[in-house]
Amino acid sequence: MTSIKKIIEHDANELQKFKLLPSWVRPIGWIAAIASSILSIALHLLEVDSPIAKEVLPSLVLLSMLLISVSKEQQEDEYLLQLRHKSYYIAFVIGVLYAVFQPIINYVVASLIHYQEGVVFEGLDSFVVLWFMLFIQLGFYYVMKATR
Amino acid sequence: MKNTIKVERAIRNLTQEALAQEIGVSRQTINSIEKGKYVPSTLLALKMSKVFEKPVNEFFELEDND
Repeated sequence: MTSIKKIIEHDANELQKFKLLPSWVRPIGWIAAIASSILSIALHLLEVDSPIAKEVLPSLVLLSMLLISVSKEQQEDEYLLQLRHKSYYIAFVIGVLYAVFQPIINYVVASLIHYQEGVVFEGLDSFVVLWFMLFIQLGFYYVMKATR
Repeated sequence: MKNTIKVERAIRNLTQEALAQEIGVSRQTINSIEKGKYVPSTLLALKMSKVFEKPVNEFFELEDND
């Protein structure tokens, strides 16, 4: 059994190489993400036009989602690591497709609705793309984890 | 790939949780391996081999489509 313990220790070191943050970071990430999202939506609804609402809060939302994404589970193992890798792959592919095609869809739909006024083609904001990718990654990861 | 981990556990009277603790993974991971949803690494298979005291290919078997 001693050799198994050594292998487990070796594995733990291998998992460390993926550089995940400790598991206590995860709940902090969740609290920060929920708080900053609620505040962000509230300021948007109240039409508050300040640098905090426009710059600081969106960055805080992204950073806190990133904290959730890159922190360990209570019991991290190789299967969870594989699910993590899969979710990053899915998020990357869907994210690129979203960034390319969503503006086209927006343009076509807007053109059909406002065909008399003329519509300007607009790309997506980097916040929207990054938020979408993080959302897809976390969503797929948690769904795959729950149904493993 | 199919496996007989459930049988091996039963022989040794090990629960999924006990086996999971023995080899340092979660119970869900053992469950997924038994169901064939997840193919473990060589390292994990060798750890199981230690616990079951038999070679890996006695409880993991390739299927025709592998």
